[in-house]
Amino acid sequence: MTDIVCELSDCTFRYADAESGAALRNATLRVRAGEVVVLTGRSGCGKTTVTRMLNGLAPEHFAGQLDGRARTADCIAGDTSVNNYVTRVGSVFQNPKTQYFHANSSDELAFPCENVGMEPAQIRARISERLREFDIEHLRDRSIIQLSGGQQQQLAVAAATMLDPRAFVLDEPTGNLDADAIERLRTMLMQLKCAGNTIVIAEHRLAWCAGLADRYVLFDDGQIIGEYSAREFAALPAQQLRDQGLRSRDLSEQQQRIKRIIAQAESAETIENPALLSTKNLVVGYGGRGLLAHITHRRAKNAFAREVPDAELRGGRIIGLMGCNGAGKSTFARTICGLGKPLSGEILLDGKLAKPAKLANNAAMVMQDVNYQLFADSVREEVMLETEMRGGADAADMCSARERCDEILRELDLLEFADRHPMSLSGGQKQRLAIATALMARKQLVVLDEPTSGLDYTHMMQVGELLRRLADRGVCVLVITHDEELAAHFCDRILRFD
Amino acid sequence: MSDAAANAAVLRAQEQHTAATVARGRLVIDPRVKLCALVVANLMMFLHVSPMVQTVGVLIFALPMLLGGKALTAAHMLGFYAILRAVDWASVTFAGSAPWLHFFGASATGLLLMLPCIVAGMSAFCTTRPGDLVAALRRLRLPNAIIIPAIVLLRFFPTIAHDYRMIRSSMKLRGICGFWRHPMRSLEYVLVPLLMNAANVARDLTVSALTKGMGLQGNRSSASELRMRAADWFALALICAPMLLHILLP
Repeated sequence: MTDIVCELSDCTFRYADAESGAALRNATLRVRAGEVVVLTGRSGCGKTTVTRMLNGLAPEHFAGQLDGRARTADCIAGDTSVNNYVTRVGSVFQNPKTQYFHANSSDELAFPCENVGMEPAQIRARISERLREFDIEHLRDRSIIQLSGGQQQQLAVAAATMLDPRAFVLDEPTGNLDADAIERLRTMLMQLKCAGNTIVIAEHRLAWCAGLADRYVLFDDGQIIGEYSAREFAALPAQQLRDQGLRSRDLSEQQQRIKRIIAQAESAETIENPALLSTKNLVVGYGGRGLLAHITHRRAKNAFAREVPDAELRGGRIIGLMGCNGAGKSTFARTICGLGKPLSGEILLDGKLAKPAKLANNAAMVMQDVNYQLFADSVREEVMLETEMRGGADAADMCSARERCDEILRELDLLEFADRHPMSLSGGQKQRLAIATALMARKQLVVLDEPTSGLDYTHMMQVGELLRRLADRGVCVLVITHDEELAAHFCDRILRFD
Repeated sequence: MSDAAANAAVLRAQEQHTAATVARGRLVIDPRVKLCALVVANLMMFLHVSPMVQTVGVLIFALPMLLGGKALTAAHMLGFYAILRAVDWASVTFAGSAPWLHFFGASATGLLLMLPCIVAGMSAFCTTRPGDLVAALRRLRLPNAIIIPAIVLLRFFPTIAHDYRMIRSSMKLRGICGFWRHPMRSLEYVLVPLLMNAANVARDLTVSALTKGMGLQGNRSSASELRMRAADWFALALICAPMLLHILLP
């Protein structure tokens, strides 16, 4: 009789600060030793709550009321302190940037071992062992902030294995990663699976779980509505999964469509719709140009240069920028927005040569972390910020500006939040607020950096619709993305950076 | 892994560590010695030591950087020190003929007082791995309430520069740059997103660290084993030399 490592018996959980009902209702789940189980469902369905109960964070850290019994190995959620879970469960979370405690990768791997008082030489030996096992020797003794998101996540998985836990609990580990990084993470988890480890993954991006998962558990609104073996799950109709807010199991159709979009020649509409921005012989990059570098004839340590094929960006289009990390997508976007000088070549705005300052005037950027761009005390004030700062307008101008502001807020479903502090909004609302400020300033180019990372199907489609509405207003929308579903559904053109 | 193999791995790790004093052509000094240098530098500041003692002190405190692979940084600091000394000397020598030099001389004297501390501090932070620094703090038996914030500080430092640049980019695109016209407002526009972001990171960080045992009571070990070797004792003696000079010389 195989050991049951994780068990939920008729569990109901209600968060202490929840306005609505229970996050999880009457959930019963059994995970056997050596199984890989994927908990799936749309955002807010309860899968994250289950992971928190399995690694002891709920109800101790995420306060709330738990009815029923949640057991992992010999620890009971609510009775056992999260400290005792440390040696039983290895956890990996969604955001690679906010998971690491130490600045240095070797210290991060040593951290769990140091906390339990392991012998120093044994800690070092174990670090070497893990780095070799997972083939990540190149991540030894590095500054974590300089690693890519995929490498940071690999490090997080390695750190979770340091205390030889009985089970691994992963909460949407691929949310912010590109295809290569996801593949590397999958390889690591396959290795863990082949070694007989028990893994529970909460995920709505299903494509990478194929072949890894033994069982799928489907959640909706806090309840388990179905349990499927891998084969049964693969046989479910695609539309049913999409209705549940899940991403596609198989992305080959989207990849085909993307190839077709890339290959499409630009239709000749130059007269009615002249290019907003065009680049000639552009080389983007940074580093290695300072005075000191010229004198010492030494390139700066992280200099980078990339040639960009001549491109024309038109208003009213959604243009995707795709490609692997480090290929220059962000650098190109920043140069087009005037945030950096090109190394050589020209950028033309409305047919005229434009310097960075002019480009900056014309562009708006919605960053992956929208917290960097909200400055005011209320939503309305945020949208009116530039107008207020410019000053010198008479009462009539201000009045019409306020009307425009409310109009834009209404269109983006933000009017009801007009007096709330921007930081109190949800992620999606903050995104829409950033777009509202761009519309208010009449920007003709809006660049979005990974707007759908970590979003389930429904929310991804909502973002896509938003981009479509933006483009329909005549704005040129540039989306940096590795989300194949978004690109296949919504992009009119795709520029590939490799 | 079998027991025999595990033991062999542990022995290998022990050997590697003892050989680490002179690794890759760089000298690695025990971080406690470097922290000691910081204390001595502060003493030198309080006691207003003579210029010669100060120069000896700065040269000695810069040694870890010079021999530890950060020669360029050390060269910059020493160059800066030389300039300050020159200004100080000039303002005293030409006091009669060029009284306006007094202003620069006074500023130079003030900076010169702080420079040994700055050089000692930079030596400690530039050439020490964060893990070794934390190990040193643990060996000095500082409480967790000090050590954990120190670790988190070391972890946050590099991210602040990155965050600041992102915020400045946003401000530039929004056209709300005027630092000189509205300095307080600009400060607010930088600080609020910076702090909000730090709060978000802190929230996620706490959750992650709890699952890795941050809340455990009881003795913690350190992966870096600090041992005072001959080189470290010699360095300690060298660091105390300026104080000795100060006492012995008139």
